[in-house]
Amino acid sequence: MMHSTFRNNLWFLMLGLLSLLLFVANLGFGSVMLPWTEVIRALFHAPHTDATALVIVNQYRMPQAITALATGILLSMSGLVLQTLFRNPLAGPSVLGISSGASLGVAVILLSGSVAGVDLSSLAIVGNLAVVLAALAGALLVLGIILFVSARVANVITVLIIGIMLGYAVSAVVSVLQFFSGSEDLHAYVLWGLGSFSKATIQQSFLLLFTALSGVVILFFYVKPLNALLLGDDYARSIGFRPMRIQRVLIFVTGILVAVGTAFTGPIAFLGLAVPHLARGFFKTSQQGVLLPATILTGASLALFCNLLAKLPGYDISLPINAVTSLVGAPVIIWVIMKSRHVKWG
Amino acid sequence: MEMTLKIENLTTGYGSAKKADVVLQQGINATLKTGQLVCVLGPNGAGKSTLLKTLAGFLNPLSGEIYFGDNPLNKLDLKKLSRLVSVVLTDRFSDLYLTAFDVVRMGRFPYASFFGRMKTGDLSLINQTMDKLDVGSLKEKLFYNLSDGERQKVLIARALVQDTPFLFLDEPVAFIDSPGRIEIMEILSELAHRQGKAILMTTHDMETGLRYADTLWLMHRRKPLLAGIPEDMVLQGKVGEYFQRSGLHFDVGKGRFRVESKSLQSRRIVFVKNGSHEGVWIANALERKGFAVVQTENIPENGIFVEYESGSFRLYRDAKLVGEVHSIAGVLEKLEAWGNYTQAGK
Repeated sequence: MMHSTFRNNLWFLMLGLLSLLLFVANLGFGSVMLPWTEVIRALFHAPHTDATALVIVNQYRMPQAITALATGILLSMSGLVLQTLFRNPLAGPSVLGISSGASLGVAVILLSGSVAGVDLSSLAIVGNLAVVLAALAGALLVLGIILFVSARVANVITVLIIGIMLGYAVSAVVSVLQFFSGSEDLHAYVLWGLGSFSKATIQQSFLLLFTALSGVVILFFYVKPLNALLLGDDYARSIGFRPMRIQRVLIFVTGILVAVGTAFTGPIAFLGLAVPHLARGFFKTSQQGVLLPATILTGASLALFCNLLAKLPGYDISLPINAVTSLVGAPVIIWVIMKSRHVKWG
Repeated sequence: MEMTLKIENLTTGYGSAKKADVVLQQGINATLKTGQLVCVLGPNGAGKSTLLKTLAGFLNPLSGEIYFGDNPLNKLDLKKLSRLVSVVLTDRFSDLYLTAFDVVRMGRFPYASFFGRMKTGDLSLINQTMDKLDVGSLKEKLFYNLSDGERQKVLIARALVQDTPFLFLDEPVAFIDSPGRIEIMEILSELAHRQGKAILMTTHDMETGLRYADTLWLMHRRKPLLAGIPEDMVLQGKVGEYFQRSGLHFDVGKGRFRVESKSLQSRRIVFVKNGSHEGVWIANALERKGFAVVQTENIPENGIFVEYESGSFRLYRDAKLVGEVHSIAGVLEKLEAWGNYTQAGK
């Protein structure tokens, strides 16, 4: 016991330092090469800082780094909670159909012009904020349906299946919209679908961080119930917990987290699915009290790392973040599964 | 602490808002006292697990009352109930890194702080209990990698640290080898008789029920629940009646079922000298092969007779010694070789 506590603390320290390091690296690297002294001066708004550096660091790199950090945290911990809740290693933020809902909202805004003849995208209100609000509305609509359904079924696995099916149905509607829309609108929509940490303004990135940290606080209150759920609903009940109530609250909380995250960044693949597995692999425990902070730190690090990769330091272009998270996330899952093949999922 | 579980006119089954209730058992009346080991015995599908889950509060009774002491079950909140009843279920859980210690620890959740923190007293209780059940060395082992018997003991330890007067176990000895079965049943006996727990366990294994239960609750899908001590139930023919299946016959002498002799007349009768272990096992082998076996003292004038003496089996036909072999396999071989020999005096 003592040994594993020491080992855990060492891991926490390493992951904490890694997140910090990657956050700083995200501020320091980008398509424009800035000397470190300039970056630091810009950060602290020191007098006589180069004006370009000031803008690049504070208006581009900072919101992007904060967005990556916040998204990494909220998607990863949602993934952990949903995997525990559904007792399914392949559950993740996408299983509730919430990101599909966000896509629908955005599709309606961006594609309705060519479909219905009313070109919303040409209206003045359609900017960054309209897309965010549309995504949020779509995500919350799906979350509402999920919550409505989950109050009426007795089994959490049914909720999982309905969430996945809802996701397919919503994606189908999006496909129809795509089919009938013009290439320019389509391009805008596809770009949104590739995800990006750089769309959020500094205010939005702080809102995202605030959401993520609120989620952290709320979920820490649910560590004990989550542990209790590991043995199944009946065992949880026998030690004094109400599984259905816990499940509904946690679906609501993670749903809001994913909805807000997706609204600002677009769908981000694999982070929420892969990070809890990474954390389990590092800490070799099922205790949610250890896994939750582990997932938060790992998620923050991985999102920042992916963002750094996507920026391809030294080049002008940046890769779509979704491609990077998938390329990093998929091997991670395979590695974790191969490494632990002596233990099987039952 | 003396306590009684009283069941009055209980109907178990599954309720549904839309369809008619599925009734499994009606008019159940029974009591369970502390210090008592009760086996709920019945064939598959009799509603044993449903009864257990109803008594544990996982399923609502369709009608009737359940009292723990003076408190009706439906008036007890989950917190109070968690200090009255602990359970061992057949539910499988699958989290990858769940250790035996993690599992046992959850039994202490009703006593732990809001964040699940344990006092030293809790930890030493967990350690003592695990040592007592001989699973202390498995603490850091992954639950998934344990054998069925080890898992069952870990689950019993989990229930014991919950420190409740009532312990309900669903099929605790199914899938467990005979020595393991005896070990677990001895543990349960001692818990009931020495430590004064009220133990209710379901089983479809008649041998276990007849050997260890203080009281049997016989269940059958279409018969009322019948309570009584095992020996009376056997002698009154109730066990046979409740397990009745066409073609099977309950052997009151042996306390087990055997295939009803298709027609005893046409089968070859073999006389076996009684009074030794070998006699018992020859009878076992011969009955399996379809012989009718009669145990006698003296060599009969007609028919086949087998006797065992100092390392060898002697075979007689019509009172004449016709062979001597050294194993039961040899006896069977001889008898097969004689083909359809039927004794003259039949």
